[in-house]
Amino acid sequence: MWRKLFTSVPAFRALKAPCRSFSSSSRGAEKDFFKDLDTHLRAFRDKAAAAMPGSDWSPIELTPGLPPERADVVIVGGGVVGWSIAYWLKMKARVRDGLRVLVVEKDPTYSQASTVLSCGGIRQQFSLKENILLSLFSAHFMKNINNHLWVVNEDPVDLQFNHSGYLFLASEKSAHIMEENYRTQRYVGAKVALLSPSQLKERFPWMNTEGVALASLGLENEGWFDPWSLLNALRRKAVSMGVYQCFGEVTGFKCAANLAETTDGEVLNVQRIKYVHVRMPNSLEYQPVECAVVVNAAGANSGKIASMLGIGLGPKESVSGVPLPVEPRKRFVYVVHCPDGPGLDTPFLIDYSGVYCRREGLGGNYITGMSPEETEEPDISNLDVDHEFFQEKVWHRLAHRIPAFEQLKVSSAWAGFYDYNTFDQNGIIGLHPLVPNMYFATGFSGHGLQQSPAVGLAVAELILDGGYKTIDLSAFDLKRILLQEPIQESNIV
Amino acid sequence: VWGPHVVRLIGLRSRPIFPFAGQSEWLRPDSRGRFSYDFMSTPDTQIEEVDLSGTLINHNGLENLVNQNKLQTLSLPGCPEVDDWFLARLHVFGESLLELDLSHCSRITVGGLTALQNLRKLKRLDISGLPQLQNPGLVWILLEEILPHCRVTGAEYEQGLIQPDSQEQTEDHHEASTHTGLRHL
Repeated sequence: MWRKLFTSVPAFRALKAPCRSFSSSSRGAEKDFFKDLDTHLRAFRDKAAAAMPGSDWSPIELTPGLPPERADVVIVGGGVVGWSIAYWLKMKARVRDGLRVLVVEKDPTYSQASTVLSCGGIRQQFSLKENILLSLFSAHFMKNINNHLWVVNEDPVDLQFNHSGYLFLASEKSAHIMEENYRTQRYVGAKVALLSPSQLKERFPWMNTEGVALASLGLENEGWFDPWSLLNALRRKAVSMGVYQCFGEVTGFKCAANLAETTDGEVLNVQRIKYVHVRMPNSLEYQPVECAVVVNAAGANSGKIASMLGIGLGPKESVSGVPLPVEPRKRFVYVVHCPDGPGLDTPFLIDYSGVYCRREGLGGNYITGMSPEETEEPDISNLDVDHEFFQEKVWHRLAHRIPAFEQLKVSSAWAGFYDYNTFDQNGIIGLHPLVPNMYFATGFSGHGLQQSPAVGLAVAELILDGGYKTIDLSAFDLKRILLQEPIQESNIV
Repeated sequence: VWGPHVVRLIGLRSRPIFPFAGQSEWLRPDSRGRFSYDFMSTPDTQIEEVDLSGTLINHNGLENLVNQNKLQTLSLPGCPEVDDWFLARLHVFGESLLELDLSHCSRITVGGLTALQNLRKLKRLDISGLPQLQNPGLVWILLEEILPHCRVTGAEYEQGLIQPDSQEQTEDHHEASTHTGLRHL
């Protein structure tokens, strides 16, 4: 190993050269020699320091793109939640290189990532106060995004935020839920207004208000933006602060197991993760990354990561028999063109029938879709779009609400996965009792993007401070899955 | 919340000018930046018009004005920190604001102008000189559509349209403008 070091440094080879020449320019050659010697010695000193134990250098030829051999926090999943956690971890750590964070993402093209396939909406019209607080914080984050995420010498971040607000429509039987939600939202600080059907008709003359008993319009901090810009801004800032990015797939964990006895006398296998196995793309080569903390922010694939640790694979009655209830659910988004459609005042409209619609650009294009029934969930093995779904389920409901949409043309469509929490459709944040160093930040069921800056801060506070400081998300803790205590949100899309 | 509170917090020592209801003259600081505090003797008057042209007011600064529910005119020409989030906060004046001047506020984009739909009583809106609008003519038409009583000035129909006499450059410009148009709209 040392021989390689010596031969790689040019100074030791070049020593022979000046002695060979007997010409009158030997004085000039000596001058060059001393000038270069300084740089060569410096290079040698750096190499020697790198060769010492404790640094990342190794004489063996390494595959490019391998993650470092050890990291403090490994974040599985490079979507907006993963990068938000990485950013906040570094922000809270304050010291450069004080905390080594690694973000592992299996798809460098982000072709199936939920983040970039999202419609990009943000709203505070929820019924749970935690959800409202999360998206209020995220809206404030985005308001001052360049204070948070600007990197020197780079362009300022532009999210292309459209402040059109969300408009929820309620029928007779759900109007009371909407009123109650309105009170909660106002109490927590969201700016929402309730509209009667006549006010709705006066405000949005292009809408058919038949069947609508009450409507709720977001006045501020609501609208939609470009998710790719947010993801890239978070990633760029995190990388500038020293977060390592690795494109590879997590294929397994190496844990140290201990036995623990519960109060009922049941003996449980508690696993502490020691190494994360990261496999390189299109290869069998993997790198075991030694780590202290792992964060599961893998979105739709979080269930798969959890099952690698045996969560859900134990006997049915025990704690280890309860799987992580996060599954991928495919949702379709259709881009339609309607030249006579509603104009600049189109909010992100969500009808009580489940159909949603928002404006895209100024050219008469709209984005629309609908959540399918529980029993008719589409196949999740691929991201193919079912156009029949639009023809049969979405179009007539859309045209009923906005009559101009009876004449429209579907320009394109795509599909993406929700990281759907089958238990209660709200985020799962916290530790699992059987894996004391894996933090979960998943299961947001379609709201991950809009809650990501706040969730990132919450998880960073959990990891570094041991508890929530800004927003108290104890209601979203993982233990509610084990205790079978769901917290439900009314009206989700 | 009015008057000196506003002056101190926004830090504008030489600009803010406020006329009150029933009082037709403007209150403005003198040449040394001192503000006369005569209006302190009439604490219940509501501010009707605020002129903040050229100041550094931003969405946080609006905190001082949100209680003025009789505000009728807001002039913000040439304010570099007025952005889309500022416009989104203007919904509090939805029942009273009649005139809004946003000319030459370089940070405003279409995404912020959509928030003006909450100002139902708006009669005059000035959107001249907004560099981030790719198609000012189209935005003018769309804004007049959504604000029923409002007359929008500052954008002409021809702005943003490709001119017919520069045919050679139209191909490249068309490509560039459609790409940027799709990006920024």
